[in-house]
Amino acid sequence: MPENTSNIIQLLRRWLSGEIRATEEQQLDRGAEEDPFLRDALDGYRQHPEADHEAAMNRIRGKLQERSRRGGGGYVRWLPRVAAAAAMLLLIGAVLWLINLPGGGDGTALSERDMRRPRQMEQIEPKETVAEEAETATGAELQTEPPPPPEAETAREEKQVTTAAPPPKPEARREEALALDSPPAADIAAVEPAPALDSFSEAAGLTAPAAARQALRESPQEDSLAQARQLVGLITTSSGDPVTGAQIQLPGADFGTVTDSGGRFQLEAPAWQEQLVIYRPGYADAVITVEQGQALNITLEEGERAATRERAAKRLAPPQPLTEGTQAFVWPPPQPEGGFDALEKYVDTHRQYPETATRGLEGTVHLQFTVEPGGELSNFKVLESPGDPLSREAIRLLQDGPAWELPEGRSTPMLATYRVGFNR
Amino acid sequence: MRRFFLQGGKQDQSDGELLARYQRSSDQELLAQLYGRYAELVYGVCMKYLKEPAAAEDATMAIYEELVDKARGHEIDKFRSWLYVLAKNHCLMQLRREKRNITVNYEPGIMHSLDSQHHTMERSDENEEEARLKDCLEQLNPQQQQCIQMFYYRDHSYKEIAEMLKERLGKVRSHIQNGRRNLRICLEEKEKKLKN
Repeated sequence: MPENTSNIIQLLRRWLSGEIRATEEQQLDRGAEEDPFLRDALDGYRQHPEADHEAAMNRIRGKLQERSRRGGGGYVRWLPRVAAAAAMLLLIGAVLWLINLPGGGDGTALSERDMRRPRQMEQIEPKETVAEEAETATGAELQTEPPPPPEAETAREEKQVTTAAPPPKPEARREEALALDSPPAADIAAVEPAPALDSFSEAAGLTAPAAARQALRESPQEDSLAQARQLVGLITTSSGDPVTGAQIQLPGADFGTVTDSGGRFQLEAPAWQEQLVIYRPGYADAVITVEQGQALNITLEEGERAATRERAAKRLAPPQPLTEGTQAFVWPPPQPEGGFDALEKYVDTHRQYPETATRGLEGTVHLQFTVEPGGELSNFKVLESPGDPLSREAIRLLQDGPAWELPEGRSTPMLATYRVGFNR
Repeated sequence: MRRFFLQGGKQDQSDGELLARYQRSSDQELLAQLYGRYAELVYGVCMKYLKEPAAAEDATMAIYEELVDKARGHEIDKFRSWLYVLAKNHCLMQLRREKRNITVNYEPGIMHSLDSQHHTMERSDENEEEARLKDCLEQLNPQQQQCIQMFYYRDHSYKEIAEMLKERLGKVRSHIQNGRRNLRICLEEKEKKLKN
């Protein structure tokens, strides 16, 4: 098989097993642009994103192996068996005809594997298996046939695997109902010249209407079910002091925020997310369960406890620094030189309440800006602010403060956000 | 089983050589080995046309049966392309016999539009676009957003994401696929608005 074809198939196999990463998937999709075989196959798989394709492929490989062994070395080996089967078939057919026995009862006890054999025979000797009774008879007959050449014990195990039915899908019925609402898909206009009719495909047993599962998955319902909610909380030490710079993250995700100088945080989290993880050097990690509509007051235990940290790390994604107030977007985010602690210190010591500001104007300025590769900040945008004088002061603080750094390996500008609080 | 996979992995024989050997000997192990190289493709194609995974599984085996005879009697130049036509026709014939409407869902270019978005983000003068993408990302439902971020921005594999989120692999695949589609729709709408 040509080199690039085998590459593509390797990628497809990685896709099926879930080992593939974004760049590789892009490679696969680019391959599909010029390769209708691959394109159709990917289309097929993507119609059923939730199905366990890998398990299905393993079953297919098992069947294929079993089938090819039975097929063995071509005509010479299987021809006598076919002849014998055909003869027996005729005989049984004659007997059935003689006693005028309606066929059916005998075949019911057959195993799935035995039921499959007639298909093979039909293909080889199609004339023999036109009538339904005869088909049953074939099955009955084959049961009395001596077992196929002795196979290794592993083969028996494989048989169990291959005959196992796919697990029932509880959602199937719902999907079928929904599929009625799905928009009509484009008709295939040209059907290519047909290959010869085969007699065994009836056994494929396609009874369900063409229910596009996608109809369910793509329905807007899914999107409206899940809603984000605003979580508000305060993190303190056991003695009641606020903890600044603690990271609050959703387990395994890139979303998160950092507590401000008052130990407070605000985080928009998916409604279905039930846990938050809190990291702060010098404190033990905390995993807390979010309860509906409650402000979260969290007390961190002082002192790093390796055991806790290890356990948390195992269960969750590794802790990552986050910009204060950021719903982290590109990962990892840019950072001020010396870290956020240094920036915070700088802001605290240099913050000047603007003279021009109306008395009593206070609150938090939320800024977005671009971090250039050289470390300069530009394109300041005020996302929220109690008033213009405070916004200008916040921008001044950031511009005069420590330079920023892009994450390693990144040479193009990135967006970042930061909050500066003003209290009088 | 092991032997089978070992054979499947052996790539030193070309399709043509394997096929020729099968045609001479009628040894089905050779044919199964050849077919096994493309079994993933065939199964996917069957699923596209027959819609049902179980039906596609059966059809994949049925196509092999068809191959047993056809590969022997035909002059086959490029096995891979030939197999594609055979598989597709098999499915279309099956649909016709069942008198089902032959419908195929096309989802053109889902992936590529996002990919190109992804690439443009690397360019320095594309902050606006980045902001638009961010905006669209935030409109995704949380599962999709989370999975997309982990897949595209942190370069996790589907499997890793599934493990971290304690989700089934299929669910993760579904979230990423749907998230990608929603992103594309959102970005296209934004671009349309910009042009007007």
